[in-house]
Amino acid sequence: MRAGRLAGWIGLAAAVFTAGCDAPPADGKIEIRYMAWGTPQQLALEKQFCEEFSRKQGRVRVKFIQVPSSAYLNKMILMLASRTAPDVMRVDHYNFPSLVAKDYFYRLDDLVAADKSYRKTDYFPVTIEEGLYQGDLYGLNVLFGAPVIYYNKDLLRAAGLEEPYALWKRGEWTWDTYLRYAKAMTTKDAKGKPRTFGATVTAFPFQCAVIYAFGGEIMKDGRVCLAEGKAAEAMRFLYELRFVHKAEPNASQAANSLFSFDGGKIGMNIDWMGVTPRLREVAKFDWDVCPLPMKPGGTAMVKGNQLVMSAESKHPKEAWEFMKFMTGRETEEKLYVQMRRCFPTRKDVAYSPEYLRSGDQPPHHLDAFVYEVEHGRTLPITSRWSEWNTEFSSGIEPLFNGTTADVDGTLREAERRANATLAVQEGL
Amino acid sequence: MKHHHWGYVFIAPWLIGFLVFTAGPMLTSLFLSFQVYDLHRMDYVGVENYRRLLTVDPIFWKSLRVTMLYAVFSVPLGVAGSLALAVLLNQKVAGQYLFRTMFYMPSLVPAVASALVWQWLFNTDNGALNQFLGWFGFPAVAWLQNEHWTLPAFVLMSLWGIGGARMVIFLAGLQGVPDSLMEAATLDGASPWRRFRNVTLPLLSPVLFFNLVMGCIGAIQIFTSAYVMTGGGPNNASRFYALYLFQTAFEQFKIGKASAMAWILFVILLAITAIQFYGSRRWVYYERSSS
Repeated sequence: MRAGRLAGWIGLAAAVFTAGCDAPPADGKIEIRYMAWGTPQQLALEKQFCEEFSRKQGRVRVKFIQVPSSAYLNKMILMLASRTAPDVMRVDHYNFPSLVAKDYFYRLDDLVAADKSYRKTDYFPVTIEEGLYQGDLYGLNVLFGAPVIYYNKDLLRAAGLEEPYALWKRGEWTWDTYLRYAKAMTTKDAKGKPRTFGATVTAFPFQCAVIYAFGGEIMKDGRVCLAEGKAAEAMRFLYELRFVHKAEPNASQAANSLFSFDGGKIGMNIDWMGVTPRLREVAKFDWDVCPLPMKPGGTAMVKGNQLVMSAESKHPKEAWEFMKFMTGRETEEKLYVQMRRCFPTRKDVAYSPEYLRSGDQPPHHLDAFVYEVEHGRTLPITSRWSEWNTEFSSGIEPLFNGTTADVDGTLREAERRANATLAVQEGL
Repeated sequence: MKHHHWGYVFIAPWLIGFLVFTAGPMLTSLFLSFQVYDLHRMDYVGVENYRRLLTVDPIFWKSLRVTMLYAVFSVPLGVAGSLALAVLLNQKVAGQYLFRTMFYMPSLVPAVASALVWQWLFNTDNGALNQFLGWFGFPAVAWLQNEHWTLPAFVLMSLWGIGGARMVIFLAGLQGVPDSLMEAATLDGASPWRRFRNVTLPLLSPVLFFNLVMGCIGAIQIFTSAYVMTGGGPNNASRFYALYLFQTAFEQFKIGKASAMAWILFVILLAITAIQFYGSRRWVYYERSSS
């Protein structure tokens, strides 16, 4: 009797706690859940996409889960670990290799093979490459792009300099010119206090874009090699830009946005293509873009996010349709052509006159974006990227904080620490 | 239902809460500290997490050293500062309540907001602190960029909290010192310092002890300011223990290692508190009524 009553209470409690979980929609439609983070404008657009897809499909409804970026990774990992992850979700590529290795994501190859409307050749090969794990496709690239140089045209004019884009078009845009420009746009007030700085390159891994442009490597044979060859040359260049030429704000000058590109106090800033909508909103000066200079053997750096399907999804076909829709031409045109968020993964969108046409607002030189992606190389992101990165970044802090001038020694020590981290068994 | 069963019913919410939200997670973390666990795969590794932390991991020792140094400097300075402030605010002067409110107000500022304000104050080039030092001819200090100055910066920042709860507890203690004892000491010709040293301080010693114990526990758990201001840098100079634990658990998802760190911290805190209790027999005076 008592046991029966206890079972009744437990049953009631379970019913209360699980009410609403996985309940089929009352209208009989299939519901798939999609989770993402992003800027308010981008999320508003993605919400529209979900509604549009639901309307077009009729029998499928997409529930859009928006999570603040600061909490996104933890929430996603907990959902994946507890097998409650949404059907489709966006994963920052920095986290993709570690999660895909845990079999959290659905292998897409069979769906691709069975679907004649999806062709990998429609996309830039490098975007497909990022979504592969052990040769199989697990992610469709979205919010893809490369770092480019954003420049302040007002500061260029004040310094009597020609636009870097024009120099790049003529093949005269080199790192020496970049340095000359950075120095020329660095100005001081009557008291000798900095008024503007010519350039800024935010911390690692943005420095990787410069390393690639110098022709350097980040990893070789599974080991970090940032203290070697062209990579070390690039790091030295960045150190000297800040502390020898004083053309870049140091950490305290850059703190609290005292000297920021958005605030109009920086001549050239290396940043992702994705910051374009924000700059359009906040910049009170004239600006545009150009590619990073490239040394012989140099490349650009590209990275995206992955649109993945949970391995636990009960509706893989519907989820696949939604993933296709989110990387389809229509969607990419809205996100990347109208909003100018990041770079299209589809070649037909990137090379379309609509994308390349200069509008009323900057950036006007869209071919700079295309050039960077065409010459782009992915980062060697593995499941241990963040682990060794933390150690390396910490190791080079004395260099970029100005407490040491020993470039080679600091790089060697930081590299040693990063490789020591990699030498330890994963997870320990 | 028997009469005494009602007692269990009334404490049941607390008891269930304790078991589910405190004892349960504690025991789980003890179990996890013997595993390699990344929320996906779990492998038993015995005491390997503890062994690696104590013998191999250089950041563990650095974070422990930084945290202990922070506690050694910030706790005595903070407790002394709070006591001094409480004594001042206990003086019967005009505007006493206004002063008390004013000095308490900084502790109402959320930790993240105050960390951002201090980030401004510590700015090498434009910070108020360096400008103030500059008036006396001192060179600018890279408080948050130079690894040798980061810890002093955090100790300095900890003094922001001297007007908080600790001061209020001291103030309550001071108001409990009987006027009759102070009057007797005055009649005996005791100077203000002697009255403070020989009357006030002994009667205040239980409060002082409480604040020391709580101060040590709080200092060793420092997290928010470092998380916001430096993220543990430069070069691990502010990677306090709790911050390193958090980063290990929720950024690197090494849950087993982080659990082992949590238990090591528990043992350290237990030992420090036990030593404090043992030492308190020599200097803490509990007034008891003689019958």
